[in-house]
Amino acid sequence: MDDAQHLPRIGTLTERTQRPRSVASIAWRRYRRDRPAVAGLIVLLLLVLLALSAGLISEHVTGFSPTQQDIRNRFQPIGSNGYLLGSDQLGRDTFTRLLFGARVSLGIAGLSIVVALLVGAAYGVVSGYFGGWVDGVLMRIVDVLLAVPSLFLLLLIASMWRMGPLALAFVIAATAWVTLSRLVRGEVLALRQREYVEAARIAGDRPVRVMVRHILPNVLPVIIVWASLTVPGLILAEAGLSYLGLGIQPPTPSWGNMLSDSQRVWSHSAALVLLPGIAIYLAVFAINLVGNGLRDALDPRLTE
Amino acid sequence: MSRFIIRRVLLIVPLLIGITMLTFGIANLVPGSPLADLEYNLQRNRELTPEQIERIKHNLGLNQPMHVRYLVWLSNVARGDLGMSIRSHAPVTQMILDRLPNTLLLTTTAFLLSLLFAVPVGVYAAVHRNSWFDRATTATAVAAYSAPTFWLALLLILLLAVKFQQWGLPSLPAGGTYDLRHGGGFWDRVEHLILPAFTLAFVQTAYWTRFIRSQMLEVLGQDYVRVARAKGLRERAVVFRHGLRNALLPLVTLLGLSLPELFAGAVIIEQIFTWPGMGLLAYSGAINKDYPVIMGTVLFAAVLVILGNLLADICYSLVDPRVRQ
Repeated sequence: MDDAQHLPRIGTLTERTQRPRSVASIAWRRYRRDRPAVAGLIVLLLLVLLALSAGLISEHVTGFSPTQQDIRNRFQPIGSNGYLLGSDQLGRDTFTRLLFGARVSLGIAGLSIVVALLVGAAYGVVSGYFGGWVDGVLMRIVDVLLAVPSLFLLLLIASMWRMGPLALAFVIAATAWVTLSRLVRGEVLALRQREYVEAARIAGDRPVRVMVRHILPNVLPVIIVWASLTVPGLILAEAGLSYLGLGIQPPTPSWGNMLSDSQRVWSHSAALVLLPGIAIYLAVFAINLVGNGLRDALDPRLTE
Repeated sequence: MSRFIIRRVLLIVPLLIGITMLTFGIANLVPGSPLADLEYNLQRNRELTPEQIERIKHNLGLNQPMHVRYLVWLSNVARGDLGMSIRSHAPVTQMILDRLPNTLLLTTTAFLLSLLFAVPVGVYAAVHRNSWFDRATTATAVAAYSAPTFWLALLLILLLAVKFQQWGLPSLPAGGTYDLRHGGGFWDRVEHLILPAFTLAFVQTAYWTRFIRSQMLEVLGQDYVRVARAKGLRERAVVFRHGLRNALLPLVTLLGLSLPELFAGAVIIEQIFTWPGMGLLAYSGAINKDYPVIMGTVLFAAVLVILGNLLADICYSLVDPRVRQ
């Protein structure tokens, strides 16, 4: 990005008489100029739309259910016999399975990022706002969680507990919120010293109100950027676990277990290995572009 | 300096205790944990009298409260005893130590590989900011670190190991650390290392390139770089002596911080390439419900990460005295 864009704009007379624009609309104007980020957003919305309408599409367009097997029609090539993207070793329609896989994979990532965001933000705000021994204890807990590689932690839990999609989302969230809490705590520590926070406190606002009304809105950009840059990792975590056979269990399709299913039969159909990988890649790539765009739009300080 | 190191080392103790509590807690409280399994089986078993159940629990030490069991386990762990594998009946500590060198070999090779690429590219992109090269690097980096490693690994195996062999081209081995037919000579081991190390390095490289580029940009904007330029120093000296040396400083810390990522990445890579390291051990422990093994590897990975961070902190304070206060 050009340097000039980050300089404060003094503005012409007509501009100054206009109503001041909100942070969100300024950010959106910046975001719109970032072509890769807009492309990423469009792809992401398309994927979400496809995932949401998986049921409708399977009923009215493909005519297959994601678990419907047909031994006579195994390994159909792409585009034949009504199999839009071919069929797998059990004669299941790959396209329908990818759609339902999107629902599982994106759904888990979406739910876990929301949970992680709420927990991490609350934790960080409390830690940073109260400081002192509260902060000390809370941050030591964070240190412990940060020291254990999250995939190892997931393996430990998954080895004992055959999780359904919902449980898996919460467990993934449990490993994800930690980095946010530390980030938010740092921001809050800095914000706490600001005059308007001081003023709110002197005016008699209770701590909860100060935190929610005065501090949280100012940390929001950091939280949004963190979330959009963390979702790709969560998608990969779920896909990785399912690929290893410790996440979503067949016959429920997820992109990860479709990949491990198909790698055994790659010599029959390379497309079966390619397609779920492309789906994961597409989603992760799109969200990364959105994340980069949001970071540039919301928090110019973070731009490289 | 020594005071800094002592303080830093002492800080590790509560961290280690926290990690053992976390591991023990998960293994005891999560649904399907060994304890819950056992309780369930004992309750359902009609042939056992309540006295017999009591005796089994007593023999296993399960009639004791959790904190007592934790302390017993902790004292074993502190003495380096991580228990016996349920599957192979081998001591877990020994199993881990046997596989540690393989993991370290894989991760360090991958790390060096990615730096070898990331440093020159990152520096060049930063020096020629906003050039086509810089733009291409930034774009490629996003595309590269979005790639799912396990998928990339599969594609590379299919292409470079399987297809190349079918086509009669020189191919790479798809798994293992050495080939028995070749007796495990040096070049044989190198050959086996190429694919897993490259795959593991791939995503890392993208991150490091971006990191080096942004560090370089920041340093090149500093006053001392302007002074160096102003006094007429050659551009090459400015970039390398004043720029790069300072830009690489935070790399030490980041190496420590990226250890968890490297280990986590190694789990999947080791499984795909059947690379007998700690990650593969953790994976097979998880698949086989071999609790002592999986708990042991989690603890071990965490300890390695902590030691890595400690080392990084100490190294950083050596090269940059400003952080010592």
